[in-house]
Amino acid sequence: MLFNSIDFALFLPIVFLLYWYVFQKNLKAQNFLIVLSSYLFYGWWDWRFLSLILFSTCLDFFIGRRLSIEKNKLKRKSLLFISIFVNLGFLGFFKYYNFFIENFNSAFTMLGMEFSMRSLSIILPVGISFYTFQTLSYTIDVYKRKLEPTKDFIAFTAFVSFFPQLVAGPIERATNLLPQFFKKRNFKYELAVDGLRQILWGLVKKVVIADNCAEFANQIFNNSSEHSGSTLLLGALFFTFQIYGDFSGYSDIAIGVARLFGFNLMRNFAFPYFSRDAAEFWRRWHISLSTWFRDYLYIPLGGSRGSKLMQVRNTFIIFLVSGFWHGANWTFIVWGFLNAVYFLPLLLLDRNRSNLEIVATGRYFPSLKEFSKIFLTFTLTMIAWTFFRANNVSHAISILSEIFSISLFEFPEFYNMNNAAITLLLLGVFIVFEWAGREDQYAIEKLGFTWQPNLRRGFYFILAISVFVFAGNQQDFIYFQF
Amino acid sequence: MELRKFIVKLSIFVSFILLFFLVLESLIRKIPNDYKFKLQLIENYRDSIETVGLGNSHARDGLNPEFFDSFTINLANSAQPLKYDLELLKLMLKKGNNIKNVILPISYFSMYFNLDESPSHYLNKNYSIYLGFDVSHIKYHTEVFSGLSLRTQFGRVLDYYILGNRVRGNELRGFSESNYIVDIISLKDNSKVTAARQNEYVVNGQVNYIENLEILNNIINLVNEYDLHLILFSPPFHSEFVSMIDSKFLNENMQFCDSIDDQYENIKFFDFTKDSQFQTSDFKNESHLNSFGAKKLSIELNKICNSFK
Repeated sequence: MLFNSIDFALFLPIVFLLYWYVFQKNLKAQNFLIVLSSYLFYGWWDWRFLSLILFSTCLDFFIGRRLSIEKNKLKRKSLLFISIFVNLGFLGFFKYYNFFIENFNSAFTMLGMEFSMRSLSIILPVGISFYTFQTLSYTIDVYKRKLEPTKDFIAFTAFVSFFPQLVAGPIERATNLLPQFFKKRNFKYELAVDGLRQILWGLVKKVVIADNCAEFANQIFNNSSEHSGSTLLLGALFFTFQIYGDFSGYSDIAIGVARLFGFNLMRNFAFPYFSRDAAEFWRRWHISLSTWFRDYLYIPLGGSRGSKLMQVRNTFIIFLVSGFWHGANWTFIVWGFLNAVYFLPLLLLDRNRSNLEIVATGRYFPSLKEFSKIFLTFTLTMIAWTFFRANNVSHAISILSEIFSISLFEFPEFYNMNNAAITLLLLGVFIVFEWAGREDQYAIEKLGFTWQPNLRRGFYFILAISVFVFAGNQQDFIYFQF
Repeated sequence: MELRKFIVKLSIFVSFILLFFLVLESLIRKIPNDYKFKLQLIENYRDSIETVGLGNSHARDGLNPEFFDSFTINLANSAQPLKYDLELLKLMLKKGNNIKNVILPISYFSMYFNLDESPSHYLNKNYSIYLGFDVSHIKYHTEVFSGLSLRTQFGRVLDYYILGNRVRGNELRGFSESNYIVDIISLKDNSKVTAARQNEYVVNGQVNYIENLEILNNIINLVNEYDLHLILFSPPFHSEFVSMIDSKFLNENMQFCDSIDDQYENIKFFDFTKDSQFQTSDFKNESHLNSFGAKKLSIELNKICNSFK
């Protein structure tokens, strides 16, 4: 079920009331309720894939138990390998089987050889890229002895399937989330209110910003050959905010919902579009995934140790794998490659850790230099997103070619421009809120705390109404396809 | 304590939101609209009405009661499917006792059209809220949650109550007047889009044919039961638009309606689709007449009504 749906609006209060009124005194029962509700939540999409997540859970639970007992290094390594192989095997099959078959077929054809393997009709289980990485983080951390494996199967199942973050993250680390299932959770008013506030902001991002931007991004990208460079640039801009609103909005809702149940999930977005360079962008965008790749791929490959060439190699591997993680299409790989290219100069000049503090801290406006850096980083990001959104690489190239042509100076023209103007206005207001709240966890976290209480409540009321009034046509969350 | 405080405060907040929607619903329902106008027409002229026009926007824009010798009202509405034409006819016959003629357009896609599956599905709630028809098959029976965007509804409220834009009354007896003449430049492109959409109704709406046929038979039975005259007509379309419709669909529709004409003495069918008297200046877009075209069509239909005497 979608977060912005009637089904979820009914599901959440029922689970909330059961959790805090019926099962509050028994931690195990509370965890069991989380398991039941999470499986109901997941099964709402397609009950057939419940067996997959259950299998993955059981496998890693038992491998974790064996790792705690097994002393032999080779056997421990084998157990870890089994977990990685099976989990990534499922991911690889469901997500990449057809991609590899199609590319093998094309490659053989190009070489003039007869070779044809049939592709299959495979449905991608929702969230598989997320929960697979989550369970892998458990087995890897247990293997490295960073974490004691749990004996509590219910708590572990709850950790793997926790419904707020099951289908689109944040990808939680076992070291952060799993221990929270063993501690008694007491309802805290301030935490719950903060959770609701974050949910509200997440809904604004998803329903008002992302879904409205999606209407125009889709219209422009789907008919790209008919549009001028200026229109295509606008389309790229709309998509840039669609993906941000969609994904960070979902994360906000996930974190907010988790807070209602007494859980703290990791932050996933930290105002990435205010970044001054590519390195800062990747410290602020999809933080749970980038840190996962840093800890479980980049560092084992050598990380920042070794020669510059090694570091460059490792960086490219991470970005290419990250691109590939997003989907079985060359566009995602090119997107990853582009981001690696953006990162490269910073790495070579040792400037990849130069913008660690929040931009313009304590000031209302950025300096001209800061603004230029933000603008450049944003533009480069938008160019990369064009590949992410395009149907294929040549589609992306044709779009970018048109953008960087004389037609960039034509007045944009497409269907329903009045609504597009309203959307741009909403975007402007949204950016102001985001900028004003950039030093907080999310834009409205502390907004209005100095106001008169009724005024602040009125502000939340207006935000809630705007979610209904300015709602775009409902779109699936983009990251569900990953 | 904290949990109770949270639930109480949240409930109060949610109540304010619900109150907002209740007020909005009430305000929207008070705005004059075609459905309320047409119900009022039925009430106000129940004993005078002799001819009633039903159907979709082609009839709403094409039937001008001013050019009929008999007292005529136009009960056609945008995207109105046959099932609501039947309900309106039943309502008319319950309220009025002077009806003699029923005029109903049958376009090539009419028999395949299902409002629930079209982009205008939100119009279903109008038949429930303003006309009291049974639409239990649809999810929402409110203005606020009808499938029409809340932004549009909000805009209507602002337009009516704040900006004071008053909706035209029913002095034209249900006819939707427009003096606009179709823009030649965009005619071809618009024809292509509309033809594609309507052709899709036919291709994808095969399952609706049987249900619509049953409804049409019910209309015919009612007409026979009350000894009325039924005038079926295929509305005029601009030649540019006609060239984009699959001629197979047009021919099939004509044959179907001709067969009904042959079967019943009190039912006549006229095909105005390619009628050359309707020129470009008679259309407001590729498939709808303007006031000039409506005058011509209404005069023709009036002649047909008189031919029954």
